Amino acid sequence: MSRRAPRIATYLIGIATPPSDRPWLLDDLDEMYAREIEAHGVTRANLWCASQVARSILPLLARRGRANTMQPESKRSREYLSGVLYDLRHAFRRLVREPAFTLATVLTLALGIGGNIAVFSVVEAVLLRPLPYPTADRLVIINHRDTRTGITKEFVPTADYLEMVARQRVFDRIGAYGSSSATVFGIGDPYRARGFFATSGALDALGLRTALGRSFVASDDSRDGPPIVILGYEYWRDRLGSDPRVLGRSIKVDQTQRTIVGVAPRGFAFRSNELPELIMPMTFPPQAATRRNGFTFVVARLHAGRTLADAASDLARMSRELESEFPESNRSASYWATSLRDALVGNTKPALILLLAAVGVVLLIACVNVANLLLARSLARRREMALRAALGAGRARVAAHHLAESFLLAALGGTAGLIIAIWGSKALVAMIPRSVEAPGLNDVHINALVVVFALALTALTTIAFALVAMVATRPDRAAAMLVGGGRTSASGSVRRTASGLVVAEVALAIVLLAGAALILRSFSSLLSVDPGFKYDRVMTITISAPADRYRDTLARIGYYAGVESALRAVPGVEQIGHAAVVPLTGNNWTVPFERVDQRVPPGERPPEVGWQLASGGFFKALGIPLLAGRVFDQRDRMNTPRVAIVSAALAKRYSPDGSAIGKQVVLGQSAAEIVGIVGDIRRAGLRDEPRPDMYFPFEQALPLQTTLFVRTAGDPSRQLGLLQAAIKSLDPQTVFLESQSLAEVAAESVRTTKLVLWLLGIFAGTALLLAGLGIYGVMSYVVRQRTREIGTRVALGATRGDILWLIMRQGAVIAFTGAAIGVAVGVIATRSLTSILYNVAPSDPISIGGATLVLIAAVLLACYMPARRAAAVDPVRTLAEQ
Amino acid sequence: MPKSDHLSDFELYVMLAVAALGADAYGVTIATRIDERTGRNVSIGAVYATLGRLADKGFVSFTLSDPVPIRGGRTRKLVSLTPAGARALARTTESLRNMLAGVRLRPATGKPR
Repeated sequence: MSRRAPRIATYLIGIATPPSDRPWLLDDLDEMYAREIEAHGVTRANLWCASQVARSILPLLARRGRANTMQPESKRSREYLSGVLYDLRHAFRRLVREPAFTLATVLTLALGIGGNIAVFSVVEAVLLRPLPYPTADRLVIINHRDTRTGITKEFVPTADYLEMVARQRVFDRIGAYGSSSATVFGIGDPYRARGFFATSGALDALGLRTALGRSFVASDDSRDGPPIVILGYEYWRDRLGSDPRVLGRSIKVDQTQRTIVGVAPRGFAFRSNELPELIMPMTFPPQAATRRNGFTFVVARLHAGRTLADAASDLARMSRELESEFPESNRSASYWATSLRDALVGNTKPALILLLAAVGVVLLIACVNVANLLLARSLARRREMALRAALGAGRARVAAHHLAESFLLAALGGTAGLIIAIWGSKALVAMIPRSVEAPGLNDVHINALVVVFALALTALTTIAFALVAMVATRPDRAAAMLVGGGRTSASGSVRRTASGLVVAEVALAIVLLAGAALILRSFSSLLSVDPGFKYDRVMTITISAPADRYRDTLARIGYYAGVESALRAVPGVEQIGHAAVVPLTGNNWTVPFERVDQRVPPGERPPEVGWQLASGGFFKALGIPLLAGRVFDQRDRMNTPRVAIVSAALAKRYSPDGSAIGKQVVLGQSAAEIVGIVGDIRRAGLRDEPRPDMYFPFEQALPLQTTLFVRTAGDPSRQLGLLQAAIKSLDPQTVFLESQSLAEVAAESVRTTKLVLWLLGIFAGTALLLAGLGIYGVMSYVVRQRTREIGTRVALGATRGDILWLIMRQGAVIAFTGAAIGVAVGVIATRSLTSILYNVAPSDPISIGGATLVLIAAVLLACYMPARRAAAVDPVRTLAEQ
Repeated sequence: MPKSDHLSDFELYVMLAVAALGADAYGVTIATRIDERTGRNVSIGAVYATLGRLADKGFVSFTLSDPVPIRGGRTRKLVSLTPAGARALARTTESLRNMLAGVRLRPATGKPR
C-alpha cells in the first residue's frame, strides 16, 4: 500500500493550489512521496516533502493570485513572482514614477516615525529597561519629610535608621549607603578614588554578587571588625591588571589600612552613573551623641509579595511610634518610601511620558497628511481601480494592492526615521539633566525593543493608509465611476473625508502648540524669577584639602588665606567667597531653629530652617543684599563667640516687630548671636519659594572641603584655568572635585523644563507645518475640482473677491471647526503638564488662545494660495476645455 | 512572433518532457524526467503552476486517465501538447539549435589565475 505525504504538507500545498488542480497535484505528491520512501527511507522522504512544500507554494500562489485578475504587466515579468512580490514590485514602480509624491510622503513619515523612535529609545532606557539589580522592582528608597515645613529629604537620621532596622516588618533587607571620594595609597601614585559606602544589608538588598571574593556580611557593619574594602571591577581591571591575587592584600585608603576581600561585578553602580572604585563598609558609632546627629541614605528590599503601599503604612506606623517615643527629635518627622525607579528618574518621568504622547500626536498628524496625499492621488486611480474591479478583481486583491503600496511607503519612512532617530536620541540624551541617575541613560541605543516599537509603528501606519486608500477607491462604486467619467458624486465623499482629516490635524496641532506655548511661558517665568542673588559671572570651584597636611586649625587658616590671596592675584577676580552648599542644586540641608529666650517646650521639636556655612565673601560674590547688621568678617574666628546670619524671612518670623540683630539662637549645646540679616534666596532651585535660611561663618568651622565662589569681571569659564592654577600653586595636592559656573548650575536646574520646551517646540512646529501643508493640499484639490464651476461663476459676473471668498470660506470652516475641537481637547490635555509648569495655569488663556490664533492664521494662509489661484481662473479657457 | 509565444527555460523543459513522455505525461513523470535529465530538483507545485500557464497560452491540454488498475487506483491528469504547443516547441527548439550552431561550449582554456 502506498504511503501518503504528511498531512501538514498536503494541507499547505492544498491551500496554495487552484481548486481545479488540487486533487491531481496532491495525488502526484503522494505518489512521489511513496517513491522517495522506497528509494531513501522515511526521514529523507520527509525532508524531500518539506522542500517540496517550500518550493511549491510561491509558484502556486503566484499562479492562483493571478488566475482571476487583470494582468497589465508583461507576462514575462510575472513569472515566478508570487502575488506579494508582484504587488510590491508594482507599487515600487508607481512610487518611482511619482518622485514628488514619494519624497513628500516618506519625509513626512520619517519625521513622525523618527521622532517617535528617538523619544521611545530614551523612554526605553530610562523608564522601561530593567534596572541592573536582581529583584529591582522590590527595591525602595526611604524618604523623610518634615510635615511642618514641607521640606523633603532623601536622607534619614542615623538613629532613626537604626530604629527602622529593628522595627520594620515589610523589608527582607534594609541597609544604609552613601558615597564620598577617598585617596588610595599603595597602588601607584596616590589616587583620588570614587568610594561607595554600604552596610551588608544594602549590598544584600542590591543583590551584589562579587566577581571575586566575598561581599559584606553582618559582622562587617561593626566598627570593631578589621577594615576591609571591595574593589570596583573596572578599578581592579584597569589599575590592578585584573590580578586575581589581590584578595587578602592590604591597601591604604585615606588614613586606614584596608584588606581587599572582594571584587564587585562588572558595571556595578548605585545612585550614580559613575562606577564606584572602592566599596567600603558603612559603620555607625554604637551610641550617637544625639538623635539628630549623622544622616544616611537608606535602601530596602520589600519582602516578596509586599507592595509600596505596605511599605508606606509600615513606615507611617514607625514614624508615629518614633514621634511619640522621641518627641524632641521626631516631632512631625514622617517617613515614606519611593520605588527605586522613581527615585532615580525624578521629574523626568512625567516629562518623558508627555514627550512620548506629543511625538505620538506628531506621527498622527503626519499620518493624516500622508493619508490626504494618498487620497488626493487615489482620485487619479479611481478609474484604474474601477476597471480592475469591473474585470473581476476581488476586494481582497485590491486590498493586497493597497497594502503593498502602504507597506512600501511606511517601510521607507520607517527606515529614514530610524536614521533620524539614531541622531535624535543622541541629541536627546545630551539634553537630559544630570540629576537623572537612571543607569540606562549611559546606554541609550536602538535595541531590539526599540526596533520592535518601530516595526509596530510602521505596521500600524501601513494598515491605516491601506484603509484610507481602500475607502477612497471602493470598487463597489466601480460602475458609477466608469459611467461618470471620473467626476461623479464620489469625488464629494473624498473631499469630505479629506476635510475631516484636516480638521483632525488642525485640532491636534492646536493641542501641541498650546502645550509648547505653556512650557515657553513657564520657562520664561522661571528664567525671569529673581533667585535673590546674581548667578552671572560667578565660578564655583569645589576643592578638598589633603587631610593629613591640614590637621590643625592654624594650618587650615593659613591654607585658606593662601588660597584667597592666590586667587586675588588672578586678573579679573572681584570677589571671593566660601560656602558649603552650592545654591540651585536641590540641596535642602537644614538645622533646627530655636531662640535662646524662647525655648521650645519640652517634648517639642524646633522647626527646621535652611543651613548654610558661608564666608563674608560669599554674600558679596553672589550679590545677596545685606539688610541689617554685618556679614561675617575677621572678627569671626575659631576662638571668638559664635555668630550667625539669618535671612529676611527668618528675621521676620523671629521678631515681627523689632530687629533680630543681637538676639541669640541655640547652637547645639551653646548659642550664637545673630549679627546680620540678608535677603532671601531661592536656595534649592528656581522653582522653590524662598525659605528661611540660617548662615554660619565658614571661619568658625574651616571644613576640609569647600566650594569657592569667585566673581570675575568677564566670562568666568575663561578664567577657570588660571583660577585652578592659582590654587594648585599653593598646594599641588589640592583635589578639584567640581568646577562649574553658577550660570551653568542655574541652567542645569531648569534643564528638564528646557528639554520639554525644545522638543515640544519642535513637535509643535512640525505639527503646524504639516497642518498647513494638509489644508493647502485639500484646498488645492478643491480648487481643481471646482475649476469649471469657478469659470462659470466668473463668466456670469463673479468678481475676484467673490471667488477668493468662496474658497477661503471653505478653508475657514475647516480651520474653525478644527480650532474649536482643538481648544476643547487642549484644555483637558494640558492638565497633564501641571507638574512641569511654573507660574502658569494649564488652562492659561494666553497660551491656548495664542496657539489657536497662530494656527488659524497659518491655515488661512495655506488656503489663500489656492484661493488666489482660483480667483485667477480664466473663464474662457476653462470653459473651452470642456 | 507574438510575445506570448516565448517560452522560459522551465516552460521549455516541461514542454519537452510532455513531448517525450507522450501518453504517460502527468505531474509525477514530468517532474521526474526534468529532475533526471537536468539535475534540477523540481517541485511538483512549480510543474503544476507552469502547466497552468502553458494551458492559458493554449500550448497544452489536459485529459483524465482511467483509474489506474490497482487497489485504490486513481485517475491522473494527463498532459498533451496542443498543435499550437507543438508549433511553439518546434519554433523554440529550432531557434535554440540555430543559436547553438558554431558556439564552442567548452570553456576557453587559459592559465589559472
